Amino acid sequence: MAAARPLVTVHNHTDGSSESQVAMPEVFLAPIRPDVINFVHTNMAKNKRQAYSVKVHNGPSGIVAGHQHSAHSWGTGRAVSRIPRVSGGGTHRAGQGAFGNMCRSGRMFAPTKIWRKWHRKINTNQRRYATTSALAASALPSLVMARGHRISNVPEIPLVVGGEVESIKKTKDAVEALMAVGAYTDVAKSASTKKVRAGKGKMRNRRHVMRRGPLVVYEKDDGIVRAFRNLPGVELCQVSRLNLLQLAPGSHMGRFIVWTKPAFESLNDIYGTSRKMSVAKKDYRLPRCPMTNTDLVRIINSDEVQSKLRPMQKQTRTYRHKKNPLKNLGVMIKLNPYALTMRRQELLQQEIKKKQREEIEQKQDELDNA
Amino acid sequence: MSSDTPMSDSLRWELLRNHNSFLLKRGGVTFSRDPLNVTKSHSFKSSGLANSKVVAVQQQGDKIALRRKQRAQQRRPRKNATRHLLKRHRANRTCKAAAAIKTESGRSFYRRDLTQDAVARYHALHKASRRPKEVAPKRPRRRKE
Repeated sequence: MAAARPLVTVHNHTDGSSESQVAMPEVFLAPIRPDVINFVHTNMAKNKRQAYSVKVHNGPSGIVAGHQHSAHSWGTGRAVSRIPRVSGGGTHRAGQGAFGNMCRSGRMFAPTKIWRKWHRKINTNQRRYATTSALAASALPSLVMARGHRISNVPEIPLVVGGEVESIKKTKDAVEALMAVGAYTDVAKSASTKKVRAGKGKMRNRRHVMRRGPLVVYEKDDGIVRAFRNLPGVELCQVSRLNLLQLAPGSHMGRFIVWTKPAFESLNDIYGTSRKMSVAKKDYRLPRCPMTNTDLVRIINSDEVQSKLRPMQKQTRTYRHKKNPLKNLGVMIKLNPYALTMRRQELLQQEIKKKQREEIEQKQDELDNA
Repeated sequence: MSSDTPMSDSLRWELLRNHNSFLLKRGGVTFSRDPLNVTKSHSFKSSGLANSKVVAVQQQGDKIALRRKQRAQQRRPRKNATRHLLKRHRANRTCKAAAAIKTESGRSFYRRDLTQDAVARYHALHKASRRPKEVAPKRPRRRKE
């Protein structure tokens, strides 16, 4: 049976003290799947693209840039390569190679077309799985820190601020609210990382880059958007429109999210619970975790597992340096204990034979000398 | 069905293992810049992010601090970190700081496996802090002529 639901403190935006407590919505207990988030993110990121292609005359399937000539190959026999050459005369251009990707002023290889598939369809359930996964990841301080947010001064994760924040009108007050709640360090980090983009994007209206700061999620915009939107790195989102591209930027889960109390409380209606289907999303229920107990260390050390294990095998001694048994008697004896007696017998036989030979030689000598 | 997320140190490690902002992979070596990592090696045992019980030694100003995580405050970053300043290095022919580290990490089997690493890191930091800092000679900016 489910244990008591963890309670999350709601913080006052003026001084950061705790106002009240809310039960944590069950979205934050969804399975965390970086693979699903990655898949959905890479595809979702393609949906805001604008088409580009090489210049084409007379409509999309007209004449591609580089093909506006009536060039023909001169064929063989004229001591030139067989590339199509520009017709006509009276100009440098005449007789020059045309049409190839290797030619100067030729068309490119595989000219880009606008009917390329720019956008991707993703199954609704997959999208929702990814969003709930990303939300669950944002509730774990380790993952948020691992993503690079500075949250060591934050009183609690998930960070919930009282509903009065939604009526803040001035950016000055917004800054004070974030400071009271310890979230401003992350904003400051964002501000300090603003740099000119490396690459051609800087000349293409994408001049600056900076790190992402906190995501502020609200339920009703009573001025909060205008107050917070100018802060560097801060993004705003309404609860019912949570975007994976903001929850897991770069498909890296664990965005630092600042919730307003009404937004936090509405999560149970938007995503449902384990016992209740979602109200806002049709036919949707929260995904279930495939594993209920993920503590590998505990599982391995548990009685159930340990009692079934065979006793640990002692490591058989391996040769430190392999010695040849044919040369090294000691090693030979380890392999074949009878080798010792065999050797002994050999030596005895050698002795006997040696003695016999000596006797024979001695007799020979005596005969020779006589 | 349990409503508690099955979050454990092992699972956290699996999620953080392949990429996190503290991971450093350069020139064939892998390290971790995690402030709560004692040995700064990228492994489950020493990871400050993945583990709920952590022992770390950090430089704090000109003092060295021993840091631990409080098991009860997993979701509260501000309260989670406990800092213990190691003020006295040596007294009565024993290294007081090392003794403090040993009790802190060994107390009720907190993280006994990290004790040696923590003491080693303390000594390394202490040695480094005593070395006079090499200040590069200030060269005034010269106008190009």
